[in-house]
Amino acid sequence: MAVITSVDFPQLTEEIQDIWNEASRNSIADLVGFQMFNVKDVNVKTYEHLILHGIGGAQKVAQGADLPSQDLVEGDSVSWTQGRYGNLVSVTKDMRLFDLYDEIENLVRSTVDATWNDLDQAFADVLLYGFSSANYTDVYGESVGATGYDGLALFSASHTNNVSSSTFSNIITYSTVNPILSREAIVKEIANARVYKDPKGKSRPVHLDTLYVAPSKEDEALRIVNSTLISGTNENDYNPLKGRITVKTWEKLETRTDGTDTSAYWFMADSKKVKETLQALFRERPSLDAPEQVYKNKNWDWSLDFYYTLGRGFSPYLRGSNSTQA
Amino acid sequence: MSSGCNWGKLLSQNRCKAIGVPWNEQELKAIYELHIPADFVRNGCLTVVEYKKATAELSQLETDGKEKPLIHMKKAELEKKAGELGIQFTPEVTRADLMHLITIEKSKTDASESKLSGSDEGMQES
Repeated sequence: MAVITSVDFPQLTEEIQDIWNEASRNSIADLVGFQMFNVKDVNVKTYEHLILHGIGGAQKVAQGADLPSQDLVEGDSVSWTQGRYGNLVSVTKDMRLFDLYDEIENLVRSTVDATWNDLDQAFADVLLYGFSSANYTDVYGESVGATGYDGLALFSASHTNNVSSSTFSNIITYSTVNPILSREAIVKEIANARVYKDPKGKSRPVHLDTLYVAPSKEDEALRIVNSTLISGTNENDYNPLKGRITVKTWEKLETRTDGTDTSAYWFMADSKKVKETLQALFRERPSLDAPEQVYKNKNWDWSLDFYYTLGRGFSPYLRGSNSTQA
Repeated sequence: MSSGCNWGKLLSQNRCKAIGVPWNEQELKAIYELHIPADFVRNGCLTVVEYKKATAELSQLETDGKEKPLIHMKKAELEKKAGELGIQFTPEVTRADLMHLITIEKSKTDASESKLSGSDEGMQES
């Protein structure tokens, strides 16, 4: 009977690392949150982000005159502080003694699966809890603030700024706020976003081109968007949404961390700019590190840990509806 | 993991109800659509009718030569009032904290005054 001994440790380390890398690669490829959020590496624990509401720009300059300073106010600042998360993956003496390589492999694959999917759920919760400014408990059991740079929820009918008394809404609106998913609501919100103006009243169009839905709404969303003719009607009009909107089905939108059914929630985003609205900052991305010493229980403990935080930035590039029609 | 906006700055711009307390949608509507001053909204005025009623009451107080409620005092007025009551503070103090401190100090003063007047009565009786 083969036994995994300390001589085999370097090889086991290499193999576990390979399993981790392969499983991580596969997991991340499927995670919508990682495609939607601006996932980036930062060195600081507390990251300061400044929101200037998209104002500024050039002014007329007379011949020989000094260039004017950019007409900016201080802007709104928001800070995001990283936390540490992790656990130990133990290869027990039994696993080594009885060469339970299959158990070891599954242990790593399961850890990978849980780690990346929990992160994806944490990303989705930013949207799903985004209709209230109250704190919520995230997937790691931590109380998390839900307010953005203006002290309001991610989705608000009256986002404020420090330049003028103008406000904007990023709650999807068609007849009422928070309409249920429909072709008309999508069309209306695309138009609403197109006429978005900065605090000084200048046109700053937002081009909504992606629709995010939970799996329960996937079929309906695909029919609304991808039908050649307008779906659900006898009209022979062509469907202008086809080819202009991409439907993304995000499994984590189905249920919030607290178990609330959020399958009717739906969101639209400007894919080129939504990464300003949704940010995920890592000082250290999830990694599995080999043990450096043998403990009293003779377990070989691989440590999994990472540092990260989630940020809510400038919000006109993301629109949401919780389908409550209120 | 935590995130924090600059509540102090938002409060100074009347973009939140208090430090750590956002406006709700009704309050935002009152401020940005109905243009009701933030202090009146903090005091519960959410409609133009309520606002007009509150301003009428306020001007009546002024006509009667009575002091206006703390909630309607500007920070400079609160600082003056706090100074009169002997409260020590620095310019960094928030308006809300000043109001709180004045309320406590006034309740202490009122209590000792009523105690004094009570003992006076007692003396008169004896």
